[in-house]
Amino acid sequence: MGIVVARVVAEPIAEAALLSELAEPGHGAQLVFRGVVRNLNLGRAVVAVTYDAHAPMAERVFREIAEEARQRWGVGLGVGIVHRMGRVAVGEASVLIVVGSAHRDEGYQASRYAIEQIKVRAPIWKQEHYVDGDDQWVKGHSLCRREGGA
Amino acid sequence: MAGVTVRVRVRLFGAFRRYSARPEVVFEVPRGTRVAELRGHLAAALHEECPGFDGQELLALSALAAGEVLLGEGEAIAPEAGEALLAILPPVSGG
Repeated sequence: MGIVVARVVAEPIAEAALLSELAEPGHGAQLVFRGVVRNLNLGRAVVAVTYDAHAPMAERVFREIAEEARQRWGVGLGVGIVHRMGRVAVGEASVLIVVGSAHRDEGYQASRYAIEQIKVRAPIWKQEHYVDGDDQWVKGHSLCRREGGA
Repeated sequence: MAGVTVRVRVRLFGAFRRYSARPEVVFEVPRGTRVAELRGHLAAALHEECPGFDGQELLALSALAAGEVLLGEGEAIAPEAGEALLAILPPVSGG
């Protein structure tokens, strides 16, 4: 039975520790997705990104996403989601998703599901800092639930 | 003593942080105010905090949460111990 880890952290993400935490003898695969700050976005040179987060709510959303993945691809999956907040330089990890599974196929699917859901549901915001000294909050996905919706 | 107004504290996140040096804005609304109506009160509070407030469009796209739960537009603000603790969540961009 795999475990779920959901965290928002202010320091660099401890990847090796998360891999150890999720290790299970019955898992034949550990899928690691590392989201990294890129040096270019929409044609502008980026030097760093500051992440803001409603941390307790984000961790709750991570747990919900992980449980959804386990419902779809097997409760034996171990799912770890760790997102960093604060200023993150180009090349550093902003998010780490580790999925442990018996076989690779469900691991790939669950990992892809987790990152796509995080991007549209987790209360996390990105402020890009550019080479020219300017900065900008990135436009994102609205969480609004209009009446009549889900 | 039940008053006719409720004190609301709204924590600011993401792009809303630029409108205040503090992490939240505090204002009073009539008891029974719904989320859709609260947006106007929040805009007024942000204008007061920052006379150059230009985030009306952002506000319309943003969700409100109580604790860790998203609120629907028709929900009334429910105070606990005389205050409602809310958060304004602009469109998200994590990952």
